[in-house]
Amino acid sequence: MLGLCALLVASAIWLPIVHLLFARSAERRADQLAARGTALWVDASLREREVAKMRGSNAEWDFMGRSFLVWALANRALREPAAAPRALAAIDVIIDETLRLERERGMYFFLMPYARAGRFVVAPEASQFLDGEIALMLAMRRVVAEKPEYRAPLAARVERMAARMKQSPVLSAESYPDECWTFCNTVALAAMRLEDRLDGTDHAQLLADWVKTAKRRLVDPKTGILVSSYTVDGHHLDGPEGSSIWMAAHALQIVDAEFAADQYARARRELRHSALGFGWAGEWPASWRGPRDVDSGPVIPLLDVSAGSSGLALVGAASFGDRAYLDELRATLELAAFPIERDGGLTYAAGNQVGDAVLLYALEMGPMWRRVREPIARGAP
Amino acid sequence: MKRAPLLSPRGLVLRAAIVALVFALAHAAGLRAYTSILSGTSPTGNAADGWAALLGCIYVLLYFAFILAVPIALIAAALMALATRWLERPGAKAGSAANDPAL
Repeated sequence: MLGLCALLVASAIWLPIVHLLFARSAERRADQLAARGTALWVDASLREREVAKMRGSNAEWDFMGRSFLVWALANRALREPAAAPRALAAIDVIIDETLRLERERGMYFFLMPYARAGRFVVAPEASQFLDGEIALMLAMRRVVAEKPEYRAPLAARVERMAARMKQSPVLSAESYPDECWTFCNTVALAAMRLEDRLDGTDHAQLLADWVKTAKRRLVDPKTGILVSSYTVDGHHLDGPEGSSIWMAAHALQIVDAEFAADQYARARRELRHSALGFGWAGEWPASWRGPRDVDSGPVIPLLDVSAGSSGLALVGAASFGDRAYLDELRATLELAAFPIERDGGLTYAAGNQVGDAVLLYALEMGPMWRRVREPIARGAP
Repeated sequence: MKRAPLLSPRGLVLRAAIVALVFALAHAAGLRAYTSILSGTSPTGNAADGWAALLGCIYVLLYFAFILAVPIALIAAALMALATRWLERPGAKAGSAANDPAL
């Protein structure tokens, strides 16, 4: 009896304070992740190992690791001008290498095999997944510092996205045959917003129409959260998913801030979990259960922990200044994602390179969206 | 050698030490890298590699035992030792609080 009482009291002492062991400086973590991220693009053998691990599970991760790293480094360059030359050098290498692979191996190189199982409905055949993220990479790079060689590729990419979106009654383009993703289409909208800022183009009507259509046709009736995937004609394929909505809300911040904040609040209410100073996110709301897939990652039952949703929840929480949730998510990351520090760099063993890049983006974000919202000064990007 | 009962200060410390030792061995053997299974990423690049997944699971279990169970066991051992000393102090009688002239 005494032993059981002692164990209960010991648990009551230890469990509420254990999260304090896992508080880490965000600035230091960002420096370490940036060091590791850029090192991958200097050390070819290291990069090959990382890419092989990811492509063994999902070719998309190879691509997304590039996108999130570029977006993170662009924010970092704006935040710390002294870091800009090194960041821009890495960004250019990543963009050029990605464009080369797309040109030489085709878009299927970065897509999952089922992309070949059907035909794209909308012509010209293209994936909004690649177009949106590449466009956002090009645009963010140019916001940090103009690079004339990237102007035409950005314009062409945005023009193609807009043309394809306008062929759909829900103003969305496919990432896979007859499969539109909220994640990809909202990233595309953010890229258009940046292009408007950079080059004086005007996609305001398309952006406004997309939000109007999405509110009417692309939200889950029970939760009011945007569904994650749907057909070109707007038939829902999935319900709301954490691996989509956190990033979608973040991207929508520069498209329609009010709608974005509403989506974040709904996602937080439905997907957030926390206990004892730790926080995590589920992949699905209680009212809708989807199949576990490569986006959700393994879902730990009872606790309802989804690695994919929890990682992207960091982006959402950072984007909306949700400090309480962000601190809880970061504590969980340090507890359960198994950080490995080596040679001044940092990687989380439980994740992969795309996970590290997503976290870096969450830690660095802010300056880019602020720049886009600022009034345009003469001569400024 | 007589085995210490689980719910005794010595038994708890001994078991905490065993868990800590086994975890240290797993850590030194580099099993931390195998935890990438938590995100659905194969540590070896081969998604069908069952051994890698098993090693990752073993590391995760040992890690949480080390972080959660070991400190709790050590705190409980300390509490039990203190309680035992207090109960066995000279002049103490079990359940004698009502007879304590100080009350």
